[in-house]
Amino acid sequence: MFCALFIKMVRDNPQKMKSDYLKKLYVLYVFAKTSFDDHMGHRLRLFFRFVMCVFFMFVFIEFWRLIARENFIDLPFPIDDVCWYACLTQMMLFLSPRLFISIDQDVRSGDISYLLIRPISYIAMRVSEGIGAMSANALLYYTAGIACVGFYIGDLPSTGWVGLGTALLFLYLGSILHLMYQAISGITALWLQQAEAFYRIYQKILIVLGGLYMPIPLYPDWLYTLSKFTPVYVMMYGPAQFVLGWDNGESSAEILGLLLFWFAVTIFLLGWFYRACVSRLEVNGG
Amino acid sequence: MGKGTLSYLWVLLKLNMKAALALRAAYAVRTIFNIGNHAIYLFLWVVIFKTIPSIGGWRMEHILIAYGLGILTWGLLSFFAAGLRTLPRQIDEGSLDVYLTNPRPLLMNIALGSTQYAGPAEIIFGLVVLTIAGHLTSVSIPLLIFLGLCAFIVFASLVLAYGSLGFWLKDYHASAEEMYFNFFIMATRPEAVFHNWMGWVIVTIMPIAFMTHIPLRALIDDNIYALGLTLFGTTLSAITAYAVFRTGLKRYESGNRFGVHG
Repeated sequence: MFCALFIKMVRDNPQKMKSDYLKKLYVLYVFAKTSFDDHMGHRLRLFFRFVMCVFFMFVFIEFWRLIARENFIDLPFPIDDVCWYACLTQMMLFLSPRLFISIDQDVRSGDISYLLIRPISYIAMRVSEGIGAMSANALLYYTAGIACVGFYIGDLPSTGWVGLGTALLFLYLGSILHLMYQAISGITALWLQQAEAFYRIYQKILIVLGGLYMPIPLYPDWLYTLSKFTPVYVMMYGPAQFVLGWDNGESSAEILGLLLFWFAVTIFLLGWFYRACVSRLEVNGG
Repeated sequence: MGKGTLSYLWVLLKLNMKAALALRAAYAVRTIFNIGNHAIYLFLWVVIFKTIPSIGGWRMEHILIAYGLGILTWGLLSFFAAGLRTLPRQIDEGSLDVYLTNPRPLLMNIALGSTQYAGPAEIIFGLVVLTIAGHLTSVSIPLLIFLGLCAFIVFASLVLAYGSLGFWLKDYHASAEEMYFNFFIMATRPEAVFHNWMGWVIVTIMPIAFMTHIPLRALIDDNIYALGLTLFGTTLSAITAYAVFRTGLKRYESGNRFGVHG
């Protein structure tokens, strides 16, 4: 709601904004909006990626159906719920654009020197663009993607629309956090000349500790506990667990509290890391 | 391939090796990160197989072979044919002009035009994983190496075919990179997961089955039919990818590229 009010205000009369802070927010909103429009404009690319995502979600459904058929373990959740869970975690990986590649390219091509002299934070600009592109993805994945998954599984999760809606909302917020870690990975290109190496490590941690392959309560206890103390917990498992119909799940308030905590930590980390990298660039050159 | 082309190929390979070793500290850090990245993924499968003893008849040793083949393939591609991975970006930037005016084979120039420094470490790590898997399953090592090369051809063909879509799709590089990575991940999933229509997908439009699933049958079950099928799939993938590339190339235009390659 605050977001909608802000957009209305800046649309009505951006010149009247007295505060520098609001002006900067408006500029970031424009970056996000431009990126959203640009992303929606590339329909063929959007569709192609969507088809891939749906295929991978179906593969995950079959993966869990196979495990359920073979009956080697007693799942504490209904099988349809696990299938929904697997699809949502897979969707989370596809939801956000590859922000670290954009930053990596800026560093490698040297364009970052031109972007740094703009009167707006470079990293805030890139994250805003990422949020814009992610919103375009969310529009498609949350409608057509959910419809495809529902059709393939044949039923809603046992927590119904409420559980699914809550999961999707937190998945969106978790993906913003994911974008920030992508930005951190991208900045490592200033040191390593390539952002991919760091990103791949982060991505694997996200996949393992986030619970992409299976819900983390099925992990050994020590790994489950370890996961709870990492930000990837609120990016992937935290949101997706709302479709798992069981009593030991976290409440919305707990996940929201954890998300806010990790947002604060990550913003601080990103800002510090960004400043350290930029000062290194200024001292040593690109 | 003439003698001149072979010596040119050797020079390109040497240049790529020199480039990889130019910044040694950064190279060492990236290598450690890359090995860590693969080790984490293998660890995940260890955790999964601790919980679930078998998935569609696959156990840890099957995953080790599939993943070993996958890493080896990824490493070979990154080091010897990284240019194929960046093909969509090169198309967007009009960078193919440099190669089109060169008398040497176009595809070889594109493939070896750039390198990913992680390649050698991934090749070594893949071979180590395959050696462990070979020891656990007592499969034929020469056959394993041969099938590793087939897997490389299939994966390179996949990357070429899907990368060539950049001739039709603009600003497609990031999506393509994501797709290559997902092909690699899918190829390391148990074969039984892909049943019914999915089974057709992984032998036709996304022929990852020829990378790991079918070679695995040839290796573990000594299935001659599977070996023949792998060879057939490898050849067909290469021919199809080249055809897609040639078709796309007819659409290529450099536009108003502003800049010169030295």
